[in-house]
Amino acid sequence: MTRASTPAPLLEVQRLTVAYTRAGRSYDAVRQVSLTVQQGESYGLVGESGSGKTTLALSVMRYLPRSAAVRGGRVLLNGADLLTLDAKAMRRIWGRRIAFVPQDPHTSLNPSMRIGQQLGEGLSTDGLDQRQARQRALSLLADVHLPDPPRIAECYPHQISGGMRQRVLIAMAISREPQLLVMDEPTTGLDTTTQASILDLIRDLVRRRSMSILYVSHNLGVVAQMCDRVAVMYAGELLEDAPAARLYARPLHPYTQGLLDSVPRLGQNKRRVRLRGVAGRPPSPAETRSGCVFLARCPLAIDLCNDAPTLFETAEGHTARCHRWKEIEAGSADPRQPASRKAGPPRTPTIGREVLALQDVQVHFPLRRSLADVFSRRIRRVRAVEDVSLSIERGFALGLVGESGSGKTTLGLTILGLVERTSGEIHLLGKPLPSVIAGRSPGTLARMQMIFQDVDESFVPTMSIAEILRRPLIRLSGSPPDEASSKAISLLEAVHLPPEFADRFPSELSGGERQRVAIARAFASKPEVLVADEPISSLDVSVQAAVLNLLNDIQVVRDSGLIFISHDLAVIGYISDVIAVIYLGRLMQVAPAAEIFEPPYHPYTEALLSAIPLIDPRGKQERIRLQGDAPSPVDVPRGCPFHTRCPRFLGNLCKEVDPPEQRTASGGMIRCHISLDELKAVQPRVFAFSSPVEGSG
Amino acid sequence: MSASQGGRSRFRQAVAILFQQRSSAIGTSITLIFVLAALFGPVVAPYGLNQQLTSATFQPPSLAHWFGTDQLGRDVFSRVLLGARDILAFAGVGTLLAIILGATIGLFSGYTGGVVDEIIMRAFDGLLALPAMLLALLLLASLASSDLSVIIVLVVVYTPIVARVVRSVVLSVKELAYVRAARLQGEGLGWILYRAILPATYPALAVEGALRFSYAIFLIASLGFLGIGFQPPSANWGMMVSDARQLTSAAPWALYFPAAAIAVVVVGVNLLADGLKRIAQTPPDPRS
Repeated sequence: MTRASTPAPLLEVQRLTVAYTRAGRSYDAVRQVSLTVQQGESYGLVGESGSGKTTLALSVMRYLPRSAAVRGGRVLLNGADLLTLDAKAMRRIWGRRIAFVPQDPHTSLNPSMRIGQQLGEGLSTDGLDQRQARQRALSLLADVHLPDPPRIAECYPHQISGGMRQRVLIAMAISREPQLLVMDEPTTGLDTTTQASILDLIRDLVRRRSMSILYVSHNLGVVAQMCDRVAVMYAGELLEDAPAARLYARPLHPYTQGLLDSVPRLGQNKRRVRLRGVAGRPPSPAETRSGCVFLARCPLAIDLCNDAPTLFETAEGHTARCHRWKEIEAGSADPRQPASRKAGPPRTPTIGREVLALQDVQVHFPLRRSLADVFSRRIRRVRAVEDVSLSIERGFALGLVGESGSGKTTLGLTILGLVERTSGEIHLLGKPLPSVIAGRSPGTLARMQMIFQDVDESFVPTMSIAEILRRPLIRLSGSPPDEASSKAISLLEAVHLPPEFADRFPSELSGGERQRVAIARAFASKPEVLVADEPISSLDVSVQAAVLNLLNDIQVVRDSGLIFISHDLAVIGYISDVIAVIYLGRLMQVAPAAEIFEPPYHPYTEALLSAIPLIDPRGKQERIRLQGDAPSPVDVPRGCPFHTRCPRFLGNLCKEVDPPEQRTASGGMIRCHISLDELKAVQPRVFAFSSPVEGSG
Repeated sequence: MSASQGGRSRFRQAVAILFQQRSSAIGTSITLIFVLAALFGPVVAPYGLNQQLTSATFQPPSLAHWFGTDQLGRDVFSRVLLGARDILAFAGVGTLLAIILGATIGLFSGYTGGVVDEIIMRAFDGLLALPAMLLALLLLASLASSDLSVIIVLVVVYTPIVARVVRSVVLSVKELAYVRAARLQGEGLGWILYRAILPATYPALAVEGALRFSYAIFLIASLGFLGIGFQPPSANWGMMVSDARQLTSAAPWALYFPAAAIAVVVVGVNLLADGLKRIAQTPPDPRS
């Protein structure tokens, strides 16, 4: 192919409109969206659920479901309109010119076909014979850095991990050297450390093969790290489009600014900075609207905004759909409300205010025995939690961070008595706590409550919000039924929801509103200890800040202890006073929040920090990648459980001897054979922030 | 929006789904017609159940006798019409009791788990290993032949099936956050089972209930055909088929119409069950 000296754009989407028809009604999922991906460019498309980003990606692929129809616009690949091609012509485009990497590696591979076969199948249409196809499949598996390609090729999808499956999907997508990769949230659902190495791989492939990428994601950090140019979508429209560095540094649309303010940056802490976020609820696709799509939630809305704004070119290559962009650029209109300094001065844990203490808590689950196990008299156990000792102070937050399978949720459920502990002691206000709920009095239950991860499953769907809030008041606080009703209303007010919500059902509320109700329910019985298990990870980015702020405020006002469980170190760093890092059921490091970002770290913490996708394209980060996947909690390695993946592995000592708990000056703990001084000497700071950390000064 | 409004719109949506597809519309209509027949049969039937028109034996279907008459001069249409009440009432009551008992056992067994669950389920496996008909015959042989024993048979035969269906839903629901939340707020077993978990089983129960109802009709008819369970003079369709068997050459209509009634109602209720299944799979109408 010959190329002109000024490279023609690879992909041009022009005024594309896509509508879905559901139950006889039709609504636009993508409205008049235009974007351009240059040769070799990584183009990020950021948006929340319902923003239309995935629909746009699917239209580019011509993969739209039957219920969707393109209502207008063009999708030009090298100048040819893909939307006019028939299936036969598309077959020459798919794979060779554009390829798709889907989100879910669990359902995107044929479970009954070996990996090698699946890869080879696509290749055989290129006229390769079986042996050639197999050779090519093996070299592709090597290209995506899968260890031992011949073995992987013989595996079925269920025999390899999620991260490996995602690599296989990438191998498939690049197998016929396409010019453009369309990726739909390719790392969502993977652990942070796995995500980091997949992102490395994608970056590496793009550079080596000069491919272009259309990268769809809700994760601002991932897009910042991956993309040259970023567009922000909201309610089916493109609101802002700019080079990544510019968009993150000087966003001009109030929504972009709100999104960037909705997630805590590394090193920010609630005691110093309050998150701003975006007010209101995300739009539902069925809503009809006129004027600016962001009108209802925009802090800068004026009368003019009732007329839909066009995309204004604010600078070379930077467009924003806002009437007031000039004022925003000049700083005379600031959608960001002045950051109110956090209520209360920073406090340090004081002795004697301890509400909850765990001592050597151990949780093992016997695996359901098969007949063979019975005969061999070998009982296999899942060692979910091993010898955990922790304490929680009144009014303070403990962050529990770990990857999937680390035992963090099990530990939370064990504290609440929803899972029986195998051994160890838990004391609540100095009194020993029975292992399971059945042994605990209503008074004890009232003192400990939980907020669950999945807002869709947190409530009985057939119960009204009023009933949901009345139950804990009646059962745990002993309120008489009529009094409980008025108390339920004041609980709603405490979480900033209107009293009318009392008559609604959970399905009528948005995710953020439901999580507010969950917070209200959890605080109904005035608990001393609250366990929050990933309370914001199922929410849209723009509402996360409000929920996090609310949780903080109530917790601080009520002076209760909080155990906040998350896989996200930035969020944990923001909300916690003390952070505990857990790996395979063991605490690897415990440290005050400020210290977790400074050496010495546990080598695992170091890797976790290094894997965080910074929400700043210019942020510099040490690159420490873990080899392979975390071992199963059924076969926890001897010695230090982390030794199989540790980048600072010493040798036999780590393999055989349980590492000591080393105390730091501030009362923290690092479980490692390497001495603290040595760690400090060899470890660089994982981060170098391009701008001083906000609020840290 | 208030609760009753939400409930009403859901009901309207359900009716719309039932009548959207032709098969479930037909099934629903058939079921309604038979229910109406059971309710108002005695009012509309032109002749009595055992009213013998001695002058009009072996009459083929005509305007006077739509379904003809049998060897004793009884009007077959009236007998089929009047037979609807017994068979539908017994099938209905038996199914309802089996649903109530089965749901309770399924909820308890699934939620409790462990050894209790194991014992209950293995016992039910044993019952289910026997064909329904054989089990019914065994039971009826040991019980006095009465109306009550027919109901007992239905309950014994169908409770394990309902319990299994409910239990499988319970297993998928009991680890959900809202059940955990209920335990955390100190709710008792009864509240957790009936207020928190039971609503999740309604869709499965509705489908299973319709299916069991149709099989119950079939089972009662079959027992009637074998001459067990109901005794004359009640008009069980199966019994009518059995009686008319000797008359196939002289009065085939006396055989065909009750047999057709059994077939039509069973098919109709099954089609209705398909429609109910579709309702269960349709998410509530999104509100704009």
